[in-house]
Amino acid sequence: MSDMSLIHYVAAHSVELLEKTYQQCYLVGFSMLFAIVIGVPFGIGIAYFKRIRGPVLWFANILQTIPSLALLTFLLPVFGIGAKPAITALALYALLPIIRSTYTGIQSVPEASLNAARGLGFTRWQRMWLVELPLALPIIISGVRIATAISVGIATLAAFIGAGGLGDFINQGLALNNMRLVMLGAIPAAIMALVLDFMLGYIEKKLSMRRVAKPTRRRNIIMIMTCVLLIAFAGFAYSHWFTKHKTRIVVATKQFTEQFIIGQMISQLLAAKTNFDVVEKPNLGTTAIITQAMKRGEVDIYPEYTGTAYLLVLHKKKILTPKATYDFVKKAYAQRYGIQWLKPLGFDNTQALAVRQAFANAYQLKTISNLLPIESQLVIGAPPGFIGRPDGYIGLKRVYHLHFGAVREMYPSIIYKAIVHKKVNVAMVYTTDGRITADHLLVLKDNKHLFPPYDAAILVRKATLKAHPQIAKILAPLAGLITNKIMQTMNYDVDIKKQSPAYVAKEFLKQHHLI
Amino acid sequence: MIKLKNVAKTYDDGKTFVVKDVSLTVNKGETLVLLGSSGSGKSTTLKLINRLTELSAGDIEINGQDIKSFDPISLRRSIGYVFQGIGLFPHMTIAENVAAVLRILNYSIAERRDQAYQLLNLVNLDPAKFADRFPHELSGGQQQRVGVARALAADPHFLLMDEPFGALDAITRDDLQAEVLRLNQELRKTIVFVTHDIFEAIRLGDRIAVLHQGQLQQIGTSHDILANPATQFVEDLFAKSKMQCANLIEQEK
Ligand SMILES: Nc1ncnc2c1ncn2[C@@H]1O[C@H](COP(=O)(O)OP(=O)(O)OP(=O)(O)O)[C@@H](O)[C@H]1O
Ligand SMILES: [Mg+2]
Repeated sequence: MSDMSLIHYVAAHSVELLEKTYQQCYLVGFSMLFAIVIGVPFGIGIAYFKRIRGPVLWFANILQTIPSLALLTFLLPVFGIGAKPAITALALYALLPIIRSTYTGIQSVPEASLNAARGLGFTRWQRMWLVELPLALPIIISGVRIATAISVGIATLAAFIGAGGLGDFINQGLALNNMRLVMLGAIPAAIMALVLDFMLGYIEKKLSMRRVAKPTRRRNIIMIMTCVLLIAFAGFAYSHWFTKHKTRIVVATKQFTEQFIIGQMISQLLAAKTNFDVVEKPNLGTTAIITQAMKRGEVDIYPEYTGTAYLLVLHKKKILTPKATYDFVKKAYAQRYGIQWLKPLGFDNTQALAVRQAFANAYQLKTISNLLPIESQLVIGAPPGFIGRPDGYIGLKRVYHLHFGAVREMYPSIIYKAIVHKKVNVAMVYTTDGRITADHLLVLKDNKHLFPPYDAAILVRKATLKAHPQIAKILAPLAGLITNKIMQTMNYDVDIKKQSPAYVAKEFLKQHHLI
Repeated sequence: MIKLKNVAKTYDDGKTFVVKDVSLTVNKGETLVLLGSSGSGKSTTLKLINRLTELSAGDIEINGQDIKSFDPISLRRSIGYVFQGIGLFPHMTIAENVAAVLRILNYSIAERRDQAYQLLNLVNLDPAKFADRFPHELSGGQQQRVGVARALAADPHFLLMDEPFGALDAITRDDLQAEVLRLNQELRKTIVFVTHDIFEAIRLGDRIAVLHQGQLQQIGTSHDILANPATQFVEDLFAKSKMQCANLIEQEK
């Protein structure tokens, strides 16, 4: 994989690339369409009515300052996930430049032209349509140009809420630490921004040379635009029609390796054993986003961890045993959200302290408590935030009375390098990380149960289960099948050996004769 | 026929009057020149006639009907207007500029084009050469001709011309004045023509109305005014170039 040439790499992903590019165009195209349809009238409005100018510009300004991920999350309860909220968010961001440029454009219309129009007996509408808007058009287009550039960039973020587009590559690439995949999304996105900018710049130039006004050329532009729109609509209608007559099952995952692998297992199993149209949404940004989408019925299935549900979604604090935690979240989810927890998959991806195998042997280390006698010589590498977290250093001090000689906060990928090269002798890790085995680390037992359990299980909407009870049967064999060791290996295959999650999942399923 | 009766205009609730108590009649087929120095209220008077600004006092009748009884939009469409400073639409071709009024009156594209070509011919611009150009591609004089053609597009009976040749050199202006005279012989419009140029007034006007500080000083043929100036202002106005004026009046006969 890693020695595959770039061209092969792109060729191997060409179908996906086309699809994502199309999705990106779709997102940008429709959001710009809406932004123009809304923004231009507002621009005209504030040019005519001084009183609303302040509030409208203020509002559009505020919209622009909302961080994009936050805006997407705000829109979630209203629009759910997918293209709709993404297009809405993009359109909202595009409003300010379009409103502003329309306003500026209309302000810049020469007084002489306006007077002439009045004197010749133009009505107010005719003045607007025939004089003000055409004269303002080059400036309006320049605003559209700015808005489009912003929009192409932000559209890549739309992948967080399952809108698809080139951001899918970027997000997956980032999650898998796979730079090629990132480039596969980022470069076409950049090219798209440049091409669109060039095209709009060309139109802007032609318009401001007042050459486009000739009837023939104007007709050409209108024809081209109509064609583009028709193609977009046809594609949209086709994809809708194509998937309508099959049952759609949406399998979502969060953005990290293990989730991708489990997600692939689920969708490959379902695809093999049913004729559902299985839709993968492998990039839903956060637990909050997926949970919302699940409640709204936009996601049917996804893998979750008991600890995440318990602490983050249900806002519980008291740490229970793994079994009690599972029972609690299962009951709460069933009652509150109509979501069914299937049996645990067998692995738990929780926080843990790890040391080098050799180091453990030398000091007879098996549990965290074993560290106490040598605590003063210990240097721990931990992710940022470790010192201040109740389930981090604070917890270790409280529950184990453990005081390290030194604490070094660093990014997770660096922690492994640090411990292998003996820069630290204890590492804060996640128990399913592929590098634990690969780097010959030993996970110390959390003998006083400081860290909340994070047992993985598959979640399915109850309504989906009711409509298609076979889903539970098809997924049942996965329960208890995936141990920490197996999960570590699979993560390693993807993270370090750079195999694709789909491939790793398929091999696993084949090996266990599930497909 | 356009009739102004005790017309007045104030922009400041009667503290000062830009046009004050002006009464005059423009007869059918006549060219009346409003002559006055800058700020004397000439443009304002024109704008009152097609309701670009509303009267503060007095009445204006067109063909015996009070202009207040007309819808201002249709009133303006029925009166050709040539603007001080031309005001061609920079984003429209010359043909489109000329046919602008026809467009808002819903003429077909073909009709508009036909009319525009005829009108361009009428003002001595070669349509083949100019129709598809844009205003900035024309000289000032050519633009003025287009302005006149545009005012004539809907074949209005009345024409208001606000210093159409103000910014042109003497030779071009002579040409265009001749053009207007010729046109008027052809078309016989009722014209109100604004100028601050005495010679232009003498040349083009069947009669001249002299305005000063918003007040009508005198109205009559150039010959009458020159012979019997009604006020000191009128006398002073013509005094400097009395001989030239007399010669010009002689010529124009
Ligand atoms: N909208 C307005 N508000 C206030 N005052 C105005 C307005 N329009 C014109 N005036 C004033 O009315 C007076 C007459 O203006 P008008 O345009 O009629 O003059 P004019 O005779 O056409 O002058 P010029 O030869 O310079 O065009 C001027 O003093 C001008 O400042
Ligand atoms: Mg004037």
